[in-house]
Amino acid sequence: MTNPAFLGYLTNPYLVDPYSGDTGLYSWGMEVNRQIVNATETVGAETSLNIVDRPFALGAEALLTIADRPNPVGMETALNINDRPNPVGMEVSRQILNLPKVLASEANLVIQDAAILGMETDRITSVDFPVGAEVDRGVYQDHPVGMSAEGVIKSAKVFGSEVSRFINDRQAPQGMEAQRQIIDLSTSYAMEIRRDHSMASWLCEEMGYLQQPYLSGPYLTAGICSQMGAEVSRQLYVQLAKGMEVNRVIKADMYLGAEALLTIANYPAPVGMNIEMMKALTYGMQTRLALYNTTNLRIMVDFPSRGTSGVNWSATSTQAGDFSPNNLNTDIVEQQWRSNTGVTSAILTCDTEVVQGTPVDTLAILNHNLTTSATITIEGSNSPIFAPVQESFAVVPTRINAFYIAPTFPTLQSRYWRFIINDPTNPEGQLKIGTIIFGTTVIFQGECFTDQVTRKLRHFSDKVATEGFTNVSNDRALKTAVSLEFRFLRYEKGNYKNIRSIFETARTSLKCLWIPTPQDVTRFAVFGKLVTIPDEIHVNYGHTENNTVDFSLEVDESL
Amino acid sequence: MSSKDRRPYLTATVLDQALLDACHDNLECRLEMIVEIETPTGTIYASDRNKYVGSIFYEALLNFPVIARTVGEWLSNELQFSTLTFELSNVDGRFNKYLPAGADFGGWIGKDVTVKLGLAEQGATYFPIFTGKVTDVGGFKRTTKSIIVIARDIYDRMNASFPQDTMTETAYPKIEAKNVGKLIPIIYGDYTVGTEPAPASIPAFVVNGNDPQVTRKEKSILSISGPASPAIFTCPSHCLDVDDPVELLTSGTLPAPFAPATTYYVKSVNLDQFTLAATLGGPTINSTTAGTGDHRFKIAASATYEPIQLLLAFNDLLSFGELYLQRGTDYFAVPSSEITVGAGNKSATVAHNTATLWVNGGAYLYESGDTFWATCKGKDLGAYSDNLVSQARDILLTYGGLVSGDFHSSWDTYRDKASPSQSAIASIKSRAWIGEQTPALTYALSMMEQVRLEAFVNRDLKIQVNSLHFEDWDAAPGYRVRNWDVEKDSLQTTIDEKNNFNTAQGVFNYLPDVGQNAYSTPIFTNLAAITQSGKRIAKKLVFPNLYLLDDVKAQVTEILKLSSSTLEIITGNLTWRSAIKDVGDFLSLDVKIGSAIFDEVPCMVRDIGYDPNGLKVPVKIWSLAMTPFPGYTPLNPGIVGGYSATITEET
Repeated sequence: MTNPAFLGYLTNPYLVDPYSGDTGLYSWGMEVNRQIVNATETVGAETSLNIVDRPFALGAEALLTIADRPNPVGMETALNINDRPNPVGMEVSRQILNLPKVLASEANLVIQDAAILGMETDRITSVDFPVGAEVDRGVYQDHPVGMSAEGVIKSAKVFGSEVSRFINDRQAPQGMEAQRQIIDLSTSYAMEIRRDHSMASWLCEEMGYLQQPYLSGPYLTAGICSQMGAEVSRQLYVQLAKGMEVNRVIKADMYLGAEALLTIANYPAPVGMNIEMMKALTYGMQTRLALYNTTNLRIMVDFPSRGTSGVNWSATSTQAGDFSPNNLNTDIVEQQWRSNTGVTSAILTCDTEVVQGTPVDTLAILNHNLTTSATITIEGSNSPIFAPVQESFAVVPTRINAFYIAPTFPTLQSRYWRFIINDPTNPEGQLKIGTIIFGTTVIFQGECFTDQVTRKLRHFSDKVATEGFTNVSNDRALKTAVSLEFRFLRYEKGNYKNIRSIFETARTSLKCLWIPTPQDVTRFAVFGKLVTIPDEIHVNYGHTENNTVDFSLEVDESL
Repeated sequence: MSSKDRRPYLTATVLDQALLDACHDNLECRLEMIVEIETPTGTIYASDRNKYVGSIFYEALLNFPVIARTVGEWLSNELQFSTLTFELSNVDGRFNKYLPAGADFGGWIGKDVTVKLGLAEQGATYFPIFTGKVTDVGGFKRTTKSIIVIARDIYDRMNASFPQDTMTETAYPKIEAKNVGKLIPIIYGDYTVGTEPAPASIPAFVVNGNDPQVTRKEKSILSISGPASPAIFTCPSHCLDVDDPVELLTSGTLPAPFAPATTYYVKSVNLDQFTLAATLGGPTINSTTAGTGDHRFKIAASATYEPIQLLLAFNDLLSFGELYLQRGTDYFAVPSSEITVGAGNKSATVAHNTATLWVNGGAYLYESGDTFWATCKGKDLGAYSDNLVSQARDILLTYGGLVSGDFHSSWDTYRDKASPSQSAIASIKSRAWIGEQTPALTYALSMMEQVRLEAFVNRDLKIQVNSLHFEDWDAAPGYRVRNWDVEKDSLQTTIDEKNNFNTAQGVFNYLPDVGQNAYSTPIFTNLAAITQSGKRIAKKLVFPNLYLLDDVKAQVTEILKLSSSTLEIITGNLTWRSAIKDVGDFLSLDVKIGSAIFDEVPCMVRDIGYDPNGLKVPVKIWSLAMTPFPGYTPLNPGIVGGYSATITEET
């Protein structure tokens, strides 16, 4: 194509070559308005460029529109800088709207703040099948105040997303501060996160997860190694998070150690880890660490509720006969405490006889006759008259057995505990409870049993086959048994050590309270004995951390 | 929407047949067993499961054995009682204190053991199915993980033999050696009639036949101490009393100052020794020399004759009748003037060497070998002294260790039964002289059988009477047993060959003087049964306590009707629906299992038990399919026995 004598800018490389217009008047810059109007077969572009009512326009104000054309071949563009008194950057808006077969991308970039120094970017790809969306943004200035970045992929079927973010070149970087989110993606998977180990750290005797490849190494730990000034906040908000939810805060102004709080709260099915860590103002490091969760298997082996004497319960009402409140201490759940007939409100008081008190992370009220409308308030105190009440919580009764799982690690210890029970609609007109146990449990951290749990409801009934081609039964009892399978338990880690200790302590003769799913206690909880001490299959890789143990166990409350 | 409760046992408070029937409709119930074992330090409450009954908690410590009750064999005076073994878990060592080297070792013997059966936790529904006591032989022992308690049924005590008391030298120091050790008889009923062949049949034992004042015979003195202060005369069974006058005899020289033919007076006595005084009540004589030769003594001629002391019975008697002396083959009626009846009418004395001349025209002087026979009426049981049921009950009460509360009201019912005539217990005469040891239970059962009654331990653990009187049977039992009431493969049937006879003769009226039953009835036969069986099957029936012929003939006839009726014995395990049935209960058997076809046949429960494995009820029942009785006529032909049978008295 040959250029005409007066070349318009649309025929030259855009913003590269000089351009002029024959109708521009008094402009410091350039004001251009070219139109191809009413042409039946436009070959070039139809353009409208206006600088209107701008007394001192330094930039360019342009409007390019292809409107009401049935077959646009080019691009329809609107670029506006509106209402910005002193724009230093660039305000750009590009849109392709309502076009059924776009081949290019549809984009919108907006800088909206009045005094932004950095760059604010938002990109959205909202088509159903984006391929290879990749986002990487950085701020490389000398004195960044920080970087605030957010990248969101909202498609319901994302896969293969990869994220890597760094803060580099800070003058006094304290570490890395980052936040990442995957929001409302119920079926996200294959997320990969890398952590940089470039910061100074030192090893503990048992490695903490923060020093291991995140979610790829073990994170069960007896102590977390400190990294100076590391501040991390990560959250997963999805309903079925398979990763880890972490929140860590360093609150102190002057500290040499680290102060951190990690909490998983109010999620129905968390699988992660809940950690509280405290630091003192020392040059060394003083650490108290408790690993606690409300999701994994927990086992109560020891029952501080039984005191040291076994005769440590009292009740405001007890029926005459073999119904002493100390029956609550027996492993025989059929042996009950009963209030007097006609008494549906009573207080049971337990003196744990442990001077320093005992914390309660798990509590079970077994073989009771309370209705689901009953109220059970449990109070702990170090005063026998419960003045003051140190802690209080409620147990929601479920049929036959009721449980309480502390939502967070209990930090208070009480010697005296009382159960304030009110069940005015009890159809039996009296309260009956077989066994109460409470105290702290052995809680599996990270590792747990496999997904498949076998629950057996066993009906004990003597049956007699008759000549009438049917059986006649004499009913006995309904008992529960639960089987759990464990695979690849790390040999050197606490989970295996703990359960092995339980095998050695409880053997097949002591009843323990097994709660496989604390978030849904009644589903699998069983107060019973091991049917057998499991055979363990050890996989031995030599002196490495990869040695594992497999075994299956069954707990039966009828044994 | 509501529907019929399919588990009524969960809320029921009464265990009755209606509940069991309702539960059986849904094939499920919840009957349970518990045991209470008394120990020196309290009671063990145990079961085969952990549970409450009422306000007591029963801990799962044991498995129960099968427990059974029986009425025993018909025409047998045996009633078997259970000896049960309970193995209590002792894995925690809680019972170690009762074991060897334990603090309470040996303390369990005789302790009570009670097993009960009932509905779940409803205490009021539980009834005892076994009461016993820990035995004194191997009553408890241990294994490495358990303690074993062996208990014998509490009614086993009825097997205690009686009479227990014998004539001893301690009780009767002047008794002749030949009578030492003889049992003192127990007597019930009227022995003033039918005492054939002698005028009296009750032996009256002489218990002072060794008294020198009765016999007037010399006795050898073993030794006289001398010189000694006092002089002690050693003479076993000397039978002297203080102040008895005696004279000394010798083959040599008596120790000084004693002299022959001199009357001395007994100063002091013990069983084998005595001392003498020169005057009645004077000082004891010392001896100054040893004396030589053999010495003897005799009652001084001046002494009076002591009366003959006679003993009839251990128990007090209603009356003492007549007394006869038998010397050789001769009988002499003892004049009433010579008789002094002792307290309780069970003893008497006969004057000796009096002016009354009643033995061959002379005065009676006792001779060794003299035998006395008496008539009497036995123990006073008020209006029921002759009543067989009352006598049997009293034997169990007095000698079987029972108390009145152990007896079911049926004892009174049958005691007073007045009709029909063949079963009118109230008018049937009975008597008993028990001079040989026999278990009280055995004797009482043998009495009951003579009038076609049986005794058994019922469901309430009381001694109850079961009647074999046709007229007492239930012709239309409301309780019906069908195939689904019978455990698979458990039903077995056999013919009661033991008691299948068609000819019988009764012997009756046991008399102690002849040592056997004195009378016999004619022979009775069931000719149709003989024809049917093709042979004559005879049995002698013994009625030792009946002594009137008509009474015995009626019983022989009725027993023969029953025995010739082809009784079939059925054993099997019923379901718990039958758990509250009892021995003697009637049920309608309506089962059809292979060739065992029973089309609503009345049956009598003979044995019943409780098998903890499923709470099965093992039973033994009589099928009365071939036994007509009032109200019931078997459908099929071939009936030869039963109530309508023709019994012929052979002449």
